[in-house]
Amino acid sequence: MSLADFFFWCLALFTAGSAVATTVSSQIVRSAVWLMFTLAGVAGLYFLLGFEFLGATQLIIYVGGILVLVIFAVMLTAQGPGTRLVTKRWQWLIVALVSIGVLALLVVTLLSTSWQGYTPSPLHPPSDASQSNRIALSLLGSLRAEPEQPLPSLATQPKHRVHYLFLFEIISVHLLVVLIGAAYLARAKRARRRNP
Amino acid sequence: MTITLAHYLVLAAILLVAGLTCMIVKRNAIGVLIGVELMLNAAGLNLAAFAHYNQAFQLDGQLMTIFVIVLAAAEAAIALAIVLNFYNNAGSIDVDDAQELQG
Repeated sequence: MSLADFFFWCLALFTAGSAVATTVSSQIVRSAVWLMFTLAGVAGLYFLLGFEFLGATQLIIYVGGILVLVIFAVMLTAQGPGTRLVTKRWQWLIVALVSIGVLALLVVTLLSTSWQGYTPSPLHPPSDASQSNRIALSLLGSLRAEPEQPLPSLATQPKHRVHYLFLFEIISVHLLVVLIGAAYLARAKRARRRNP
Repeated sequence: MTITLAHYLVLAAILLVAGLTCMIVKRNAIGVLIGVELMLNAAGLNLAAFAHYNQAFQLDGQLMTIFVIVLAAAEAAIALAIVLNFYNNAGSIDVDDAQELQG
């Protein structure tokens, strides 16, 4: 067992355990803290896969951004210390049956599929440009696709430029619209109530 | 036994099912949102694993994962704004109390 395998098992156990703890903890603050551990574990897996930029993005946006947002929402909607909304036992039973069924279906399908041809690529791309550099260039639409060896069944690889400029623009406008909408929805409406 | 693609996919399946369970079982609206975040993370892990195990998709997988992360951030912002609005109007965070539109 190599060192990378050992790290994978550690991170996988950590991530899966935190995810299950997120689900079963009845207090929402504990749930949020377990979610933080899960997100950090997934970021570690990104690092292990060799995608440093992705791991850093995950840490900055998820752990640094979304989690702070969740904690703030918990604080703004708290109705007292340690409020818990308890799910009934028969509801837990039904949900456990359904989720175990879905998990069994997914795992059986995954393990019965032959993933031939999917071999790990070298940890760093064989080019002089760094990974974030390549990502930025492809977002701007100026990265040339390198002649790589695709899978035999997926032989129709684009030979032209790799560009995601259009997707990048759509995401940008989407983010702007979402931020305006969130600011509109969450604004304080007390002034109108005071002077009807 | 070396780590293959199936290992990552099984881990992502566990994350997805944990998120699904969280989404169904939580009565707190923020708990439902946490479940959605878990499911989106499972999708991102899947994309990254495929990008690692197939050289041709290395860049595409990374970019798709970044888009998933950005969309998750947008979704969290708008959903938490809606939750806060609901709390201001209904005085409760329980999703079972959101029944005004029920026939």
